[in-house]
Amino acid sequence: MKELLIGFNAFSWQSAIMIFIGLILIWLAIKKEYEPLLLLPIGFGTILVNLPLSVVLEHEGASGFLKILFDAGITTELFPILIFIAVGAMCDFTPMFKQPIMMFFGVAAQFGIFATIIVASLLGFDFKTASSIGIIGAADGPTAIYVATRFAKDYLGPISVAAYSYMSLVPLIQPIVIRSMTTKKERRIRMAKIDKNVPASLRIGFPVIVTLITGFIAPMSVPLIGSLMFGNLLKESGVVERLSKTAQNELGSITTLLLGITIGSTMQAEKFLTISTLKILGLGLVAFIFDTAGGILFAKFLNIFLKDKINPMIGAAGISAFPMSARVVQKMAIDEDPGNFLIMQAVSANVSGQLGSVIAGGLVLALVPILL
Amino acid sequence: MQDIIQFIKNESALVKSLFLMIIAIPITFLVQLIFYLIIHAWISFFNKSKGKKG
Repeated sequence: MKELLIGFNAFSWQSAIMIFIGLILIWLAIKKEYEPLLLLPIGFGTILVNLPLSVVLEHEGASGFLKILFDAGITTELFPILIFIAVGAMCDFTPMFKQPIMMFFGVAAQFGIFATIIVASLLGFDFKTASSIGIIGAADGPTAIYVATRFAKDYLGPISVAAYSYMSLVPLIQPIVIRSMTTKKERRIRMAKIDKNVPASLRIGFPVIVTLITGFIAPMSVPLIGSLMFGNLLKESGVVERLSKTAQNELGSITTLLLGITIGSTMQAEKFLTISTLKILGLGLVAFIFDTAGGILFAKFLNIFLKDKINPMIGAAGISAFPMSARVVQKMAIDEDPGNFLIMQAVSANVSGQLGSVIAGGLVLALVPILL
Repeated sequence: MQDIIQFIKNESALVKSLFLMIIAIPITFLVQLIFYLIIHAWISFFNKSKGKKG
C-alpha cells in the first residue's frame, strides 16, 4: 500500500508552489503571449521536475531525460551556442549600417549590466554570480543563459526566467523610465532621416570582421560572438539559403524547445524557492531600468554638443530587446507628435543594441575570470 | 596593469564590480568605435567608387 502512495508521500508543499509557478509561466506564455517559445517549455519543465521523486532527473541511479539534456546541452554550453547561430541567421544589421552613429547607443544602453553587477555585489552575491545576474541587463536571453551557464549554473533558472520575462515587459517598463527622465519637449524632437546605400560586400564582410576583431580583443567571447556572426554570414552570403533557413527555423526551434525544457529542469523547489531568487527577479528589473536610463542619459549628453539634437528616447532603444524597444520609442514619439517618425533611428539603435549586448557579454566572460 | 589587477583580485566583489564597470564600458565603446569607423570607411569607399563609375 505504501508503494502505491509513494507519489503522494514524496510530495512537499514547496513542490506544490513550484508546480503552481510552472502553471503561471504556461499561462503567461499562452494567455499573455509573453515570450511563449521559452516560457512555455520552461513552465512545463518546472512541473516535470517538481513532480514526486523527480524521475525526469534521476531514478535508481540512472540519469533521467532532463538530466541527460542538461549535461549534453547546458553543461557543455552547446544549446546557447546553437541558439546564437539561429539568432545570427535572423539578425539584419542593415538599419545599423544605414546610420552607424546609432551604434554608440547600443553601448550606452548596456550600462544596466554593470550597474546591476554592482548592486548584486552590494546585496551579497559573489562576483561570478553578480556578473551573471547583471547580464540580465543585456536584454538578450541567450547571452544571459550563456554567461549563467559559465558562472552561476545554480541560478540558471531564475536568471533565464527574469531575462525573458522582463524582455517581454519592455513595453511596460521603458515608457515609465522614459517619461520620468525626459521632458515633453525632448520627446518631440524630430530627427533627420539618413538613408545610405549599403553595399552587399559590407553585409557579408561585417560578420567576419566582427569575429576577427573581437577574437583578438576578447578571445573568451569567441564562442558567443563567433556563433552569432556565423549565423549572420549564412544569411548574408546568399549562397547557402538552405542552411540559413535551417538555422533560422529548424535549428532555432529544436534548440529553443530543448533549451526551454532543460532550463525548467533547473527550477527545483529547493533551488528556486529562496531569497536569492527574489533578489534576482528584483535585480532583473533594476538592470532594465538602468539600461534605459543609460541610453537616455547618453543621448542627453551628446545633445550638449550637437547642433541637430537627438531625441533622447532613441537612447532607450539601444537595448537588445528587438524589436520591442524600437516599437516603444516609435509609439511614444507618435503619441507626443503624430508627425514624428523615429522608427528608422530606433530600429538602428535597437539592432546596435543586439551587437552591443553580445560584446558586453563577451567582455564579462573575458574579464571576470581575470579578476577572480 | 598587472599590479592593479593583483590588487583588485584581493578586494571584495563590490570593488571588483566597480573595476569591471570602469574598464568594460570604455572597451565596449572602443570596439563599437572600431566597427563604426570600418562601416563608415566601407560605405564612403563604396559611394566614391560608385560615383566614379557613374
